[in-house]
Amino acid sequence: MGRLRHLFSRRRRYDELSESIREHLDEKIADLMDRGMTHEEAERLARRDFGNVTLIEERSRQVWRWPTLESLLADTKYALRRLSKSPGFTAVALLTLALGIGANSGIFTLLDAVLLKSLPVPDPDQLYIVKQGSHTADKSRFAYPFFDHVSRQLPDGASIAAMSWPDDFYVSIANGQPRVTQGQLVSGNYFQVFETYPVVGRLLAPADDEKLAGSPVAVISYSYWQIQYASDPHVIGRKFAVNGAPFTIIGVAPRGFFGARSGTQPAFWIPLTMQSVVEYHDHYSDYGGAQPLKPWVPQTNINWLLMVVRVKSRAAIPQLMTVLNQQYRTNLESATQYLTDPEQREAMLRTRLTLEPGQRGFANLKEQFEQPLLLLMAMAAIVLLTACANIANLLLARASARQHALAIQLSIGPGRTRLIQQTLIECLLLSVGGGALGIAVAYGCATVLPRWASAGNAAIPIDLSPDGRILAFGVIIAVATGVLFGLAPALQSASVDPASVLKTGTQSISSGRADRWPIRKLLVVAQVALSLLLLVGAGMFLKTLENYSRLDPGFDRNHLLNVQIDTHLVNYQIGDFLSLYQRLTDRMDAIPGVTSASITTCSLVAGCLDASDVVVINNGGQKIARGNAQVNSVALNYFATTGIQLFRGREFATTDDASAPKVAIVNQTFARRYGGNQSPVGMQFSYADNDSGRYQIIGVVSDARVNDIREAAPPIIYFPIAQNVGNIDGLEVRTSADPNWVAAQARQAIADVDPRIPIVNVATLNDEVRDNLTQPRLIARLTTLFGILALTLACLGLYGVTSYMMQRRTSEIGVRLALGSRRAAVLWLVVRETLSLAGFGAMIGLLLAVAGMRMATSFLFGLSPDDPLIIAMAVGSLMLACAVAGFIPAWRAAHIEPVQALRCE
Amino acid sequence: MKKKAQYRDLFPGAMELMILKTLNWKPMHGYALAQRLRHISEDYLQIEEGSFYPALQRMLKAGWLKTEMGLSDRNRPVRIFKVTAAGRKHLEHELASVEKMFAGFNRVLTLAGE
Repeated sequence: MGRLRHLFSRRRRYDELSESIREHLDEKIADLMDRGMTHEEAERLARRDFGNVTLIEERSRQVWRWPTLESLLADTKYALRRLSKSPGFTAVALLTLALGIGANSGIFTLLDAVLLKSLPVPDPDQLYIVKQGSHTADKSRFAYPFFDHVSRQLPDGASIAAMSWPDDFYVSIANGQPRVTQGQLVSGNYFQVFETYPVVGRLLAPADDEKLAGSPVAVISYSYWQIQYASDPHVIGRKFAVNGAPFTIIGVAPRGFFGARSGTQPAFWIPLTMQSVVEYHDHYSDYGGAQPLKPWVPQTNINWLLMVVRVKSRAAIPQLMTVLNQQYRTNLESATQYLTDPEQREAMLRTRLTLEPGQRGFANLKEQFEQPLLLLMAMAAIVLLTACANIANLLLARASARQHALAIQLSIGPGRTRLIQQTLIECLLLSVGGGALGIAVAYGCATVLPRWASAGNAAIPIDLSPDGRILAFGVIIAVATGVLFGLAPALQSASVDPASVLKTGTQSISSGRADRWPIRKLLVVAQVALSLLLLVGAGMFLKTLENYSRLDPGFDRNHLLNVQIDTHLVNYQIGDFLSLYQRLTDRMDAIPGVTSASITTCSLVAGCLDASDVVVINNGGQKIARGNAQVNSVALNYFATTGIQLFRGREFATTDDASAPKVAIVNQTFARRYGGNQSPVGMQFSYADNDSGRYQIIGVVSDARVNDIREAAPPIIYFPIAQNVGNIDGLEVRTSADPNWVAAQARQAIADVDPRIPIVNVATLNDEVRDNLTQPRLIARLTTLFGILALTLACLGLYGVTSYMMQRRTSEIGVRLALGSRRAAVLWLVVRETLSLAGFGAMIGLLLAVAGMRMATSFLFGLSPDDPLIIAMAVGSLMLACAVAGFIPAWRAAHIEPVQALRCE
Repeated sequence: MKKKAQYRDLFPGAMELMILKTLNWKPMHGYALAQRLRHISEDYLQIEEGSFYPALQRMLKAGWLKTEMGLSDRNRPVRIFKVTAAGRKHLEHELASVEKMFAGFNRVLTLAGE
């Protein structure tokens, strides 16, 4: 209240103060005049004795003020006025900052969503993921009976939920065309453990999990409800079919709920006990003894469930761990009985369970995006630094133009601290304004970037809604930026020496102290150095992208088509398959322009997860190697169709049928890794967990990058499909005609053979490869963009400094020209100086680039982090740009009229 | 600049103390106060006349002084500074502590060289 009273009575106080001072002076003048002085003399003396009236009044007033707040307000007004007076400068500064801060906040938004955001459920810090030995959290899979046993023995305050991996299902609503839709099998208490509540209807309950195949009910996600059911509140009781089996909708999950795996958005959740009904057969592991075609819920040997625990009090954790590990040990005893290798069994039995914090859920996006995002974040930060240097330079230039005004202000008005405050406020206004614009830019970036960053056209479902962290980041970065670029100009304006500036009069450009110069030069040097770093990065990432696209993937990707289908849903009998393969291949072959087509269980580049542990046995019957290999069953002409080359042995023949001895072809990596130093042709292998069946290796083919163009080929085993009939992943089709036209024909062909077969995807291998390269392409493009931005800023800075330098040397150049110096010599004089600045910056930049690129080696492919050609090109283009930036003021300087230049002085 | 340096050498609150003591003896207006201090200090303390004003404002704000309208020696209306009850209390308190300080200070100066 006291303060308020002061505030209201202040005006009166100030008037009284001025009055007192006036009275003081009047009294003194009268006194002095009594002693015989004239009025003028008396007044002069009185004022001299009194001191600086304005300053004293200001200091006296400050006593009454909320000093900070009020002077801040006044300075803000003043800064706004000054900024609006130079709209050009303000616009350039705001734009630069908006881009710089925008890029940073945009990438931070992604970083936040991928790495920092907690699951959108109550008390996410109470959640833990059960982790198995050395497996990653999302590869720690358990059998249902284990989950069931554990959940019956939990200590108080702990609860546990189990879930399958989110997977694709074919969902048809109201008997419509089945559509690929993501869904998840979850335990009955899943939603209780996450403490979520339904928007409509009810969520799953433990009772839904009690009877095998007994509860065909589903909870749908909020967005699925919005899109498919137009948020209809009467959706409860409606039915839809999942992989052909009817389910009844019982409720809608809250908005934004996606479970525990960021980057996934299941459209529906159904009880675990419905596994066999929807024929979910993906993502499991076993140590033998599993019967994957029978219901999984009662089986102890089929590991398919991820487990999440909620612990109300940390005190319950030790007891929980005891329960988990005791039960796990019991489980392992029986689960490993099928392992024939005692060593492997011992190793398995030593496995222990641990808890991993589950606050952010399963970190599947982290692996994929952490490194690239950190890289982009670093580059965005560099751009912002360059922008800061640029604005600092502009401000310094403005300050030197305002020296005279500053000097007057200093000699009559506020102190130096106040001047620093004024400049900093101006800078903060700029940076906060730029920051606000930047956050708008960021929001745009953040919605576009994930689409660029994910393969294909589907954006990764990721929560990008702004949160406190993003706002805080924006504010901090804006303020830090303001202080960063404002500090040098602020200190400079405060270091003006009023006496020397005022003495030289208004033409005071040359009155600056010599030590002020290097600040601006150093800023430009820093800009040049940072932009070289980005240019080198851009060059290397572009080269990496080119190397990837020119890479020989081990198959001939031109004129090749992936036709991916899913035969699981049609329920073919084992006996149907051979003729199905034949009909599919024949129908494809009949399309004009198709040269060959082949069945496969693992489509190229799309990647496949089928892998098994195998034991390789040499000709002498000794087990020489044990390891993991991907498997693919293919038809006869697969290698000819895809262009994968046979190196040794023979290809599959029609004689390799169900009645013939079992054969296989392996790739080079398999041969190298498991064949010792010999050719594996003639060797045998068996599945590690099952010694009975042996396969003879009959050939070795070239390595094909089947999973991802960026991944070296894993060891691969090819089986003849005739010996291994079953569901397939699709066909590879080689064409001589336009593959896009053939693609449309291929869809029709599938429908002709059996309209019940869902088509997953038809795409040319060139498109698939392009999708694989989305991330390197994004990095290359953004780095190039950032590099050009930084270079432009550096050139602007260089241009500004050179022009300023020329202005100061106008008369010197005038004298040179008058004395007969040639214009070319003057031109060179100026350009040389620009180039020496740029060269100095480039040298520092080179060191930065070499060090920086070493840290980014994992993003490079096919070149070393100090590739001399690319570094040379980056330095070359940098120097060229700098020379152009320096040439304009140089040319202007060389065309000064000597007479005019001298008259100026 | 020199005058300022001298003032700065005094201990904090010295000027307030001198003003309080003077005004406690007799309420007066700003110019008279400046004259009086200058006179009795025999120009030892060369204080810029203006620098009383921030100090006066601080003391007004602290409630040690108040202003009243009065007449100068020349019968002009002027603002007279008067010490309040709180100001007197503060003065007594300060004087006591200053005396103590000077006693200690003197002792050190006398004995330090021996």
